[in-house]
Amino acid sequence: MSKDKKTAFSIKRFLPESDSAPHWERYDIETEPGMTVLDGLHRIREQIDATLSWRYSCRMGVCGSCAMIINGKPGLACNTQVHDISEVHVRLEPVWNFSVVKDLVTDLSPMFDQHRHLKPWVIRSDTEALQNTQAELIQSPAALVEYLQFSYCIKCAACVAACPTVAIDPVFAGPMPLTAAHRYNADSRDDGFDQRKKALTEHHGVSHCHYAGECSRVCPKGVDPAKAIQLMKRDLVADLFRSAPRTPAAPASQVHFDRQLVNEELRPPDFTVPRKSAK
Amino acid sequence: MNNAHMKYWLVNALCGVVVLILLGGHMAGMHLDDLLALVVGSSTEPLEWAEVNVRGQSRLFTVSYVFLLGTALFHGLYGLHTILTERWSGRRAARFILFGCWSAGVILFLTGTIATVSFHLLTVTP
Repeated sequence: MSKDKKTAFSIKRFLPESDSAPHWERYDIETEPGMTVLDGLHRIREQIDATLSWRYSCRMGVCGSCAMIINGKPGLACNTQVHDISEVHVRLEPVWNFSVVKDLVTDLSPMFDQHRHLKPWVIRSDTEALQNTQAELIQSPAALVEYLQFSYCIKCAACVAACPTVAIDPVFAGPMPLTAAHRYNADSRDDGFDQRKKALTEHHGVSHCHYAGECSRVCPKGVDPAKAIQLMKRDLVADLFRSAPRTPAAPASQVHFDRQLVNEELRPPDFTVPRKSAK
Repeated sequence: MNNAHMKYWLVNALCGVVVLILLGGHMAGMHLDDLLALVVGSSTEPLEWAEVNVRGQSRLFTVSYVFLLGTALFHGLYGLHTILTERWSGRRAARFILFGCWSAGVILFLTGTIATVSFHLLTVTP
């Protein structure tokens, strides 16, 4: 195992108050096995340059805040170990296809605007689930599997950064919003396919995905956005030939709570009452 | 028009499959005839007048060539349209590019079809 050694971090900096264009700055820091890129950034900030800016939150690969380009590939700083990338030189730059706010911080609002445009929530054709707070939307394990993989998306923007179509076409929705749309279209509790269809099939919609596959290659959560988009194309093509209206989602189920039983189960035991002996 | 882009995309994909088949046949028969001879055991020079005449008289060849022309033009111009609209993504540019691609496609298709059908009519023995 490698011992502590100096690793050069080249970081693409941009200070809007003083810089006209981004520039590279180099920081040499001690790194050790098990240290992540995020740990390296903290060390730089603590020991060398406190002005360095980047986004992070959970430090464990579930929030998506720390996405950046690490040695030419989009990834999460918190779950990328320095010595797995390079013990000698690590290059960090802000995610591609987004405008830079400062250093490694980018403006992700275009991606989230596209995301919102595709209605990433369960849409119901009935109002019972809203009106009846005791109701449940029952879903089988088999139905869950249809979209579960795509629900793991943490909205880190690594896929959007890697997408060559987004790079040249600013109107294209991008892998994350399209995957989110398929996640809900594939959800058996959802009735929003027709509402999302217009946004998906309009100018620069899903048909502009050329299946480069880079989004799936860089996804840190194994979501496979390319697969989601192709499945969605299949569903949209099948919809072209549909003659009957889509089958609506199953109605909300009434779950009956036996309040007496619940109260008895929650009541603490009465130690004054003799226990019945087992026969 | 609802779902127009998905319909164009589907037609483009189907045209790609048709082009693969028909162009494959064209390449094998016209340009890889020596290789084909190894497989089928005989060889005729496709550009000999007798062979050209046979193809010209055949309604099947004529229809196939027109079909290949149409599907290849649609597939190619759809791709060109996609590249151009990704580069220039405004609505006005999109309308201009769509008009340009359709115009080029129709003109080229009509020219090629007239040439193919004319040759067929010339070669058919009255």
